[in-house]
Amino acid sequence: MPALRVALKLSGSREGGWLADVEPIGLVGIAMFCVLALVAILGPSLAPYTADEIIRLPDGRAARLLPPGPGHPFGTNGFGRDVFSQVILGSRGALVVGLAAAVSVVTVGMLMGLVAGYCRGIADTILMRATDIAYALPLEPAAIILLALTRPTVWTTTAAISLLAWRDVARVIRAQVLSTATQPFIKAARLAGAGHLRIMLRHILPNVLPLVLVYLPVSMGRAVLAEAAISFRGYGDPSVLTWGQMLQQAFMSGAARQAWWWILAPGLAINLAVISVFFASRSLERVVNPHVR
Amino acid sequence: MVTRRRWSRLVCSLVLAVLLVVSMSTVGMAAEPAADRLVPDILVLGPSPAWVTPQNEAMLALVAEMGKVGLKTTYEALPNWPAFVRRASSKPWKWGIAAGSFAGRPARLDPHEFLTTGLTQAYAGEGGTNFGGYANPKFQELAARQAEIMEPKARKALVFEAQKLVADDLYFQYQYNGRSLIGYNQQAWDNAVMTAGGNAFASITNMVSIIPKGADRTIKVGEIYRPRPLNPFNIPSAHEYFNLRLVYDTLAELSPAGVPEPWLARSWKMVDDTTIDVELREAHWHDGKPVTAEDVAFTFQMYQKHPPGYIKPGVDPVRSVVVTGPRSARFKLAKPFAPFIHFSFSGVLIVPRHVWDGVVEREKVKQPDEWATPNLTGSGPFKVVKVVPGEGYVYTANKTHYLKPPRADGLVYKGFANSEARFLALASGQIDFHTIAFYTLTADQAKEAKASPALKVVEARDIGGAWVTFNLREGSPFQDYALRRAVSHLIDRKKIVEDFALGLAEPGCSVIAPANAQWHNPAVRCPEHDPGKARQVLVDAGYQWDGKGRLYFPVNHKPTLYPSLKR
Amino acid sequence: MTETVPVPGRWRYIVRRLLENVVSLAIVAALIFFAFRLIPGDPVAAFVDPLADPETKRALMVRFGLDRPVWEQYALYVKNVLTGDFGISFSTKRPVFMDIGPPFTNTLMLVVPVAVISYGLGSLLGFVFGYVGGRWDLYGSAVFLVLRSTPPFWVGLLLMMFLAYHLQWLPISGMRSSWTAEGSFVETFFSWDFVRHATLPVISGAIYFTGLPLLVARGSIRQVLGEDFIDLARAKGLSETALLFRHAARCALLPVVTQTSLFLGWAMGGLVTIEQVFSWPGLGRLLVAAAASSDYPVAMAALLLLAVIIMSLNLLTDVLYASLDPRTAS
Repeated sequence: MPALRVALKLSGSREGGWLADVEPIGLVGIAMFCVLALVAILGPSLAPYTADEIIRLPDGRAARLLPPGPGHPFGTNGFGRDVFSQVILGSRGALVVGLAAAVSVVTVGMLMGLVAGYCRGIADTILMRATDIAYALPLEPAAIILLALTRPTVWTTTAAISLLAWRDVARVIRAQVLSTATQPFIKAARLAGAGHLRIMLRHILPNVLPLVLVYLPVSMGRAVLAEAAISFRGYGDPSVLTWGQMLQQAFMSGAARQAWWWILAPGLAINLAVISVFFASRSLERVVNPHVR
Repeated sequence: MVTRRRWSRLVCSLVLAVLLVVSMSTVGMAAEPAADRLVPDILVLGPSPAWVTPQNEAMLALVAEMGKVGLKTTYEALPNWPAFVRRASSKPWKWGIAAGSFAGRPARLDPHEFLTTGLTQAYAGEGGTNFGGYANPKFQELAARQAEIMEPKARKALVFEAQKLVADDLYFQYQYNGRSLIGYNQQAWDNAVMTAGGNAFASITNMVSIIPKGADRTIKVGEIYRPRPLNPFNIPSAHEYFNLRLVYDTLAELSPAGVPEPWLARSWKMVDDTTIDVELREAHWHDGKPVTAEDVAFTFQMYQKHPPGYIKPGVDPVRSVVVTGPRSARFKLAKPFAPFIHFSFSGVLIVPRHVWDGVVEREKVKQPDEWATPNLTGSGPFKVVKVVPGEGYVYTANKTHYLKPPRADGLVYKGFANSEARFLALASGQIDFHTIAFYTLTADQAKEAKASPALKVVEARDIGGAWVTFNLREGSPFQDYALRRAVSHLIDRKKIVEDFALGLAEPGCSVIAPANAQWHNPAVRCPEHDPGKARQVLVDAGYQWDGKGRLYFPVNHKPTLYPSLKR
Repeated sequence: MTETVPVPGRWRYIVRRLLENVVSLAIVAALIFFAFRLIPGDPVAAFVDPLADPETKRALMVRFGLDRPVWEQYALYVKNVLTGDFGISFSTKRPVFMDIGPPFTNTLMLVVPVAVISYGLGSLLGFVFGYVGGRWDLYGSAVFLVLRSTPPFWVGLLLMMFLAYHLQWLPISGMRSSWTAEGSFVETFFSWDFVRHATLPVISGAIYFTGLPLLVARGSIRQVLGEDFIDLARAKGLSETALLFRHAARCALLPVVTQTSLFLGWAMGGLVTIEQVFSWPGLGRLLVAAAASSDYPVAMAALLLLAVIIMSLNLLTDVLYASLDPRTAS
């Protein structure tokens, strides 16, 4: 948890007893996230089947829509593929899109917020109008349209989500920067002759970084949900298996009524993944900002 | 004896040595093929899983097989037809294989459309559907000639030859042709008629033939479609055409087997190859005015000025329509055109002159299709009661129709967002029919439907389907027949049909599908699935592999574009 | 909140925000336009016959001005939009607003109940959790996070599977069982039939959207409860219920209410998938379908409509804030 430690140091908490500050919810979240990350990394060796392997019955027919049972804990899907393996292998797509989108959302949002909040004036006006514009376009439909117009890959999906989601972070960071910038120690630093860049990086950034760290998992959760929605509408990267895509297939196949396992498993996976990062963000919130009770 | 054996041993070892040297030298050469002979990475275009699931699976399997023979590929999945056309039919045509699908429909029972639109030079430009730029001059000539031969037998010979040629050139091949499952409520309706050519129950013939069994005498049709407003000058899809055909008559109508039979026309006579005399029946518009030859002549003039895609093939060949009597007219064609009756008489919707004449000035629109609330008076077996965009259409039966007054009292057409919603409506009796073969029940829905006593499931064989084409343009590795042949040997149609289409398809090959029995050439064969043969074809053509298994062009590579020309 | 700004200052602020919004809107419009025009290839492929000849396609390109240079098209677009002309739909050939109007109403009839339920329930729960504090507060935030983590379309699928397929309590999809005898606006949207059809989509949406007001209300009530006047009221011997709902909640409601303006944008986004699941004839489905079938005028106008609504609500919130909290205006 290097991120946590950084957060701890920045917020000046006690190095040793940080676990005591973390809510049980947060610990659960962190544990869940670790499991998810492990599953994503070890995916191919954990999954009993490959994503596109068709399982055969003894008579050679494809084993379609087998309910959960021994050998197939989550059953098989309409093509006779192992849902358990697909859920495991689908974790990568979610994690990659989620992490990449979260990092870019937070980076862009932080820079925007920092510059806008610190520089004020014209830069603030321009950047805040940019956030207005980003707010004016609803995330999922706008991302789907962007992908319909370009070409859906993991990276265009990430880009489309990031392009529309940085706005929240930018607003929050700006507000934090605004309140930090008025504090006495900033004035003192300025009087001591510190340059703007130095003030921004040395004095303001450390103060907003904890907030940024809280927003990282939140943005990730949002991105995972957005990716799922996009894939469910059929605009995800077709060459990368994701949970949203599994749900889309299940919905399209016309087997959704009997094959509850085909719907339940990938949906729960999305749900748990997002819960894990949201819970983890709670712990960060508490650690970086012990006053919030 | 002894010497003989010694001799034979010597010969044997000599042969062996020679073989060894030869094979070693080839191995040595194969290990180090010049880098500039490397077969470049191949861009494969095809449908996304959400667009055409089985074909997406088929292409992913093909791409995996191609990897095994040393071809490096990128699969680009497109979400829908416009995106596909955008990608596959614009410069600089950088792809190697494109996989798409054509929907069958009755107009395509005549082989002309399938033989020209995907395959001829006129469609090879940007935005055209001859995606790979097929330009075999021999084929071009055949495709043009078959359309001008009015004698069916002679035409058939040419159509057969053309089909064989495309298949032998390995430019265009179907992976599968659809086998749709269509359900309808047999407890509510009797005497359902299925039409050939992909429209299944979406034909006026079916709608006027079915007999209500119960008290509810309104036909309820449901389709996966977001209903658009109706206007005979705006026909973006088969759905609008079907709905407009309920209201507007055509001169002829295809029989269930796909042969044009008189409808609004009492009869027609071929005076010569470019002159047809038509006699109309005594018919009336829904507002009571008589249908005259003037209306027919006007319709063709109007459609020639403002042709929707569905109507254009029917009005293009016409040079003039001369009114020769109150209910008789003479059609003059620019040149002999064999599919004329099929495209024109059973395709062009006859509209009333008194409604559409001067519509642009009267309604202050730029074109007739912009008339947002058009007067939908026709002469057909159904009258429009209401059009609710986004939801559907309501009709009442025209019980005084001159030819086929419907047995039903009315018709309601509903749009559904997805297959599941439509199926549940069918299962619960909210709809009686779903119509167009392309929108089949899924395998699982069909199983459920068969178990229900109310529903009957019938099979419709599609004359369209899912195909692959190779890019034959400059710079494409598939300019070489051997490479096309090798890749074709990797297409596993059995697996596609059974595992991916879940049985809702039959293996395809010829551009004229087997379901079109009248025109399909049964002698056309595509390379069978055999990865070993794929390799052998490449070896025979001089292709080589490096240590990592990547494929290289032969030394002094001279691609064979069209094997049929070489012979 | 006690002081009021001199009127000219407030008006100047409002005018400034208005101008800023107009500029932003112009940029949004330009962004939308260029996003749709700069894609290479063949925009008319979708609405002519797939096998139409190139000549027909070219005629359509000319008809819709798509053959002209992009800048010329843009100039025309600006001119048309300013005169309220959004063009005609490529696929239906009707004026765009005719195509967008009914779906927009249908979506609104989904968004409004979702908003009412999620904001009502969310803020109530938030107040309670925030007020009670302690362990319940912890559960409250866990509930918030779980609700926020649930893809609404998945909830929709599950609800549909159990309540509509298996138990058959509610209709499976669509907005009404019969549009054939369709009546007035009131008959359409204020009928038992509509309620039955809307139930599942509304629940799916509300479950997801309850999380946010819950969190905002919880945070805001905790802040309010820390302020002096609450202690004062408590000292006066006011009952706790009265304290929570009459005094604290009233003050804590403002942040929740202002949140609502952002809600619409999110709701439209979340509802795209819900509309898909339940075959709801709404704007989200139309928007995606139009983009997919290259019906640019419809997709562009729908996006622009959403942008205008979201921006005006934002503006309204800002102005409201400014009149309530004078510090913002300076």
